[in-house]
Amino acid sequence: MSCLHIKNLSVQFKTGRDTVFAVDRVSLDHTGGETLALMGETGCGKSVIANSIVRLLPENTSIKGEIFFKGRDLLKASERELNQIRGQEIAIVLQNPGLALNPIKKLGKQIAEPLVIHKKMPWKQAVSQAEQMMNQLRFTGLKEKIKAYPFQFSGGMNQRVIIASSMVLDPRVIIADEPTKGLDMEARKEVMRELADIKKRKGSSLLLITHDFDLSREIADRIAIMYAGEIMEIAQNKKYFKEPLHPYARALMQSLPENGFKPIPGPPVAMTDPPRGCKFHPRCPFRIKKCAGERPPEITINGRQVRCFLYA
Amino acid sequence: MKQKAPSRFKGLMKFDQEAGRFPASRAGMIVFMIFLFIALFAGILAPYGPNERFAPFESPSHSHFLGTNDMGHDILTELIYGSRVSLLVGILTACLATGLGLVIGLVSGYFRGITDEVLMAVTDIFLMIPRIPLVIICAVFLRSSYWLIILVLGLLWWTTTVRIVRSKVLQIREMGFIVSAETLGFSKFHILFSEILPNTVFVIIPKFMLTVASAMIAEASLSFLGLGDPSSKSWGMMIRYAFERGGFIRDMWWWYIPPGLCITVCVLSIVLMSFSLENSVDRFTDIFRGLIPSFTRMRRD
Repeated sequence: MSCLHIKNLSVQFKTGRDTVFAVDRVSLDHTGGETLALMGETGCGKSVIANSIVRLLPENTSIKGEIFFKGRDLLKASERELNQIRGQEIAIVLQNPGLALNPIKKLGKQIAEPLVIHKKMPWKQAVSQAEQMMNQLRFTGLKEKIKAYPFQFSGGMNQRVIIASSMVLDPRVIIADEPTKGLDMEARKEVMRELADIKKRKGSSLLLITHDFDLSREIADRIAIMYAGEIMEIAQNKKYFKEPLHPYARALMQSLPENGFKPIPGPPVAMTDPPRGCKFHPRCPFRIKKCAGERPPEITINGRQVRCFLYA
Repeated sequence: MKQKAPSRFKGLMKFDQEAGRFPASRAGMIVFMIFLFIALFAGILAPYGPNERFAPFESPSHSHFLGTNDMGHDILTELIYGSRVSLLVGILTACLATGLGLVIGLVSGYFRGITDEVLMAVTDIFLMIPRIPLVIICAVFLRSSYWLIILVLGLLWWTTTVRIVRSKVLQIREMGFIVSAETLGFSKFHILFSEILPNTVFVIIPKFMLTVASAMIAEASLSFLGLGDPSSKSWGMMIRYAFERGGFIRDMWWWYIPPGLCITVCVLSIVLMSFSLENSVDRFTDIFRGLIPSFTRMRRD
C-alpha cells in the first residue's frame, strides 16, 4: 500500500542569475510502515524533497509534479489543510537539534505543545502525556528533565526531545532529516534505537534522509541513492549493501573508509548547470556514448530500480 | 564553562545574579523599589494629609521636615504624593508606547512584505515628528490633564521600540525552532505570540524602562513649562510652583531641590536597572550561540 507517492517532482530555485535544479523528475513510492533511506552526497537535493513534502520552501522556488498523500495532492493543498497535515499526519525532524528547540521554553512544554494546539488538550493533561512519552524514551530523572531548558541538554538529548515532540501526535509518516548529524557515536546509537523503536511501536513509516551509511544499514528497509537531484537507484537494504548496481552507488560504497576510501573521480556537478543526459556521466568509468545525450530510463531488475544504460 | 548552567539561566530570569555582579544596577533596583514603595504607600508614609494647611513659607523644622509652601502645604507630604503622579505618568506612558511598538514590530517583522513596508513608512513619519513641541502644542490647546499627557506621549514614543522589536523578530523568525514550529503545523498567530514574543522580552524590558525614564523627564519638563495638570501635583509641577510663587527668590532650596533630586535619582535608578538587563541580553545571546551542537557540552546527568 502506497502511503506517500511522489510523481515527477521537480524543484528549482531561482537566484539572481542562475536557476538551481535541486530536484529533477523524482518519482518515489513510500509504502506504509516501511523505512526508506534517502541517501546521497551533500547538496544532491535530499532535504529539498523532504521540505517539498511539507511545503516548507523559500519563495523563489518553483515546484512541479505531484505528491500524493491519502489521495490528496499536497502541492495543491491550501495552507490551512497543510497545517492540519503537518505534525499530525506527516512529522518532520529537522537538522540541527540545538536550534530546533525554542531556547526559553521548558522541554516538557515543548513536547506537549502539539497536543495542546492540535488536539485542544488542556496543558496539564498534555504535559503528563509528554511525561509518558519521555518515559518511553527512557529519559532518566524525569521530574527535572521536564523542567529543563534546551541549552542544559546535550545535542543528542535535544535530538531525542525533538523526535519525541514530533511523535506525540502519532503521525503516519515521519521524515527525519539527518537525525544523526553532529552527534557523537553514543548519541547516534541512542537516536538510531529511538527511531527504530518508535516506528515499530506506532507502525508509522519513516523517510530517513541521511548520509550515514551505518544508520541506514541498521534501520532502513529500502535505500534510495540520489545524485544531483535524481534518484539513481532504489533497492532493498540487503541487496543494496551486497551489491550496488548503479556506477555512482558503487563508487559511493567504495569511497567509504571500510571499503578502501577510494574517491570518486572528477568534481561534483554544478547544480546550476547540470550535465545533459545521465547526470553522472562525466565522472562515470563505464560511460558509453548514449550517456551524454539521453537521460537513461528507469530499469527494474529483481525488484530494484536503476537509472542506467548498463542494465538496459 | 565559567559557571554552572542552571544558575546562569536563573540569574538571567530573575536578574538577581546579574544585579549582584554589577553593584550599581543592584543599587538602581533598590532605589527604584523604594520609590515604588513610597508611591504605593503614600497615604501611610506622608506625615500630613495632602490638603492639610499650615502657616505658609515655613523653614524646615521638626514638625515640617521640608518646611511649607506658599499655600501652607507641607512640602514633604507634597513630595511623597508627587511620586505617584510622576511614576504613574512614566509607567503608563511606557506601557502604551511599548505595547504599541511591540505589536507593530512583531507584525511587521514576522509578516514582512507589503505589511512591513506600510508599517515602517508610518513609523518613519512618526519618527520625523518633533515630539516635545507637538506635546506642548497639544497641552496648550487641549485641556491639560495627565491622561492627555500619557496618551500623547504614549502615541509618540513607540517608534524606537518598533525598530528594535522588528529587527529582533527578523532575526528570530529565521531560526530553527520557528521552522520546526511550522513543521508541527502551528498557526502563524501561535508562532508569533507564543514562540517569537517570549524571545523578544529581553530587548523589550530594558527598552520599556528607558521609556519610563524618558517619559518621566518629558512630564517634568512639560509641568515646569506650566503645561501639566494643575489639579494633581507631580515633582515637575512642584518645581514649577516654587519658581512661580517665590521659592527661588526667597532662596527656599528645601522647596525646589528635593523634587529635582527625586526626578534625577529615580530616572537614574531606572537607567541603571535597564543597563544591567541589557547586559543579561548579551548573556542571553551567548546562550543562543552555545546552542550550536558542536559547542554544546553541558550537563548530561
